[in-house]
Amino acid sequence: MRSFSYYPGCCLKGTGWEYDRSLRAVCAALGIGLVELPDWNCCGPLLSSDGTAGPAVALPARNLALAARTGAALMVPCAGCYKRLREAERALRNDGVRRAVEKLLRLPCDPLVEVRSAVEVLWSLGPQEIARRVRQPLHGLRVACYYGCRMMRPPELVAFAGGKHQVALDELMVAVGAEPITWPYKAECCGAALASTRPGLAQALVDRLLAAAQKAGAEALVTACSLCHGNLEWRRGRAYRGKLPVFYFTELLGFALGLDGTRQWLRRHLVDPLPVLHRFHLTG
Amino acid sequence: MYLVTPGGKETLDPGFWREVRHKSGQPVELCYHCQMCQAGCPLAPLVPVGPNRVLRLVQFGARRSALTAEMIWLCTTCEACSVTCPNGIKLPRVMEALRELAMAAGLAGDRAEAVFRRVFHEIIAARGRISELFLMLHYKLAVRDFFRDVGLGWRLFRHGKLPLKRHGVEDPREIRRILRERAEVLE
Repeated sequence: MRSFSYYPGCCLKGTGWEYDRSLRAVCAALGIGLVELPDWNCCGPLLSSDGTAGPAVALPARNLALAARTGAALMVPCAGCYKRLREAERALRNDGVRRAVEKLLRLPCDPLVEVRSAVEVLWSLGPQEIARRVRQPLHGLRVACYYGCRMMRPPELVAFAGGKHQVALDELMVAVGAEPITWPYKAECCGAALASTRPGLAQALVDRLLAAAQKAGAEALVTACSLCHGNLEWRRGRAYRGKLPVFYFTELLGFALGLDGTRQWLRRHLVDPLPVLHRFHLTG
Repeated sequence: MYLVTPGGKETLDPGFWREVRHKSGQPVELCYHCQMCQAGCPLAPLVPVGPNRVLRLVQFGARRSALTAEMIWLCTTCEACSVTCPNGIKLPRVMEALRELAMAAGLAGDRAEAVFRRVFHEIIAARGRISELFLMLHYKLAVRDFFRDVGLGWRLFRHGKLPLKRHGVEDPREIRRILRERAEVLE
């Protein structure tokens, strides 16, 4: 059984609760061990790293230092946190930066821990491995896989398996029997923190995404980032009220695997996903 | 030399582009305005001065126009620009540098994005982690926007998305120290 240190990030304790729960349930069912990293700290999503040993590297690097003690790689569900921790990992590969950061943290950052997104870890199991455990294939469910920006760019930082980061969600959806549709906005930014500071602008961005997903024939969107999920659900115009629910990819994996607790996850959504799932049998 | 802008004549600062290049680490002088960034930026259609125009202002030395451009505050670091720039300019880093220069020059005013960043980092310094309910309460208080998202906030709360319990690291002083200190890179 492969085991990871688990970095939930700040949102998964709050607005991303269902991402955390569905991810834990899916990992348990698929034989992936998760141990939450003790005393993890915020990755500093609004800090930007230029690779030098300032707080933009040191803040996320503290998590890598803590993870180094566990002997396991670090699994990160939220795309935003994932990118920040990968930036820190990359900066620490420079010995001078690593020594300076270790001095600042008063913690060794050695060995340098691997940072893996939840998408990568689950995708890496292989579609057959997931498909054979599917109890309820999501046949006919047309989904728009929404990758957003932080798990897509820049590729030299966030890519895995030679470019598979760009199709991993689609391949996971195929593995559980759903129908990922092709659409042009899969990697377009949702507006991120503009949802708080300029909600009107965020709504313009979100509505553009929803219009494209709807035009391409999607019934729902699938995402791997709690900020994207929030923006897509809460910052949409009236035209999309009650339409196009937004799932975390792990929720759909959980439904397909027939796991318990799925209704609990659904209840947290502000855009009710039940109408889109009524054709399936929900366990738990 | 001066630039004529809608706001009037602006005296140009020929050293400005070097200052921005140094601060951002990006070769802003290489931009030849192919507008790939403008074409890919999700915010570009929504602002009068988009990403490549901001670089143009920097190249001209139009310091004030560059530092008061709305674009620098709306950039979400999505990097649609970075991956398509033929000269490898990472525009989000340029936007970050311009934000810092704007704040230092007192030109950020009470921009919502500047306030949001300040509140965000105050909470990280206080607890080491963000609790979303408290982030939004602090932020709304700071920008005096009490009514706009009340309905949404209530719905989120009812859906269990905004727990009342705050979380944090065991010793936030460690975090404050990290945010405060700068380390010299050891060779």
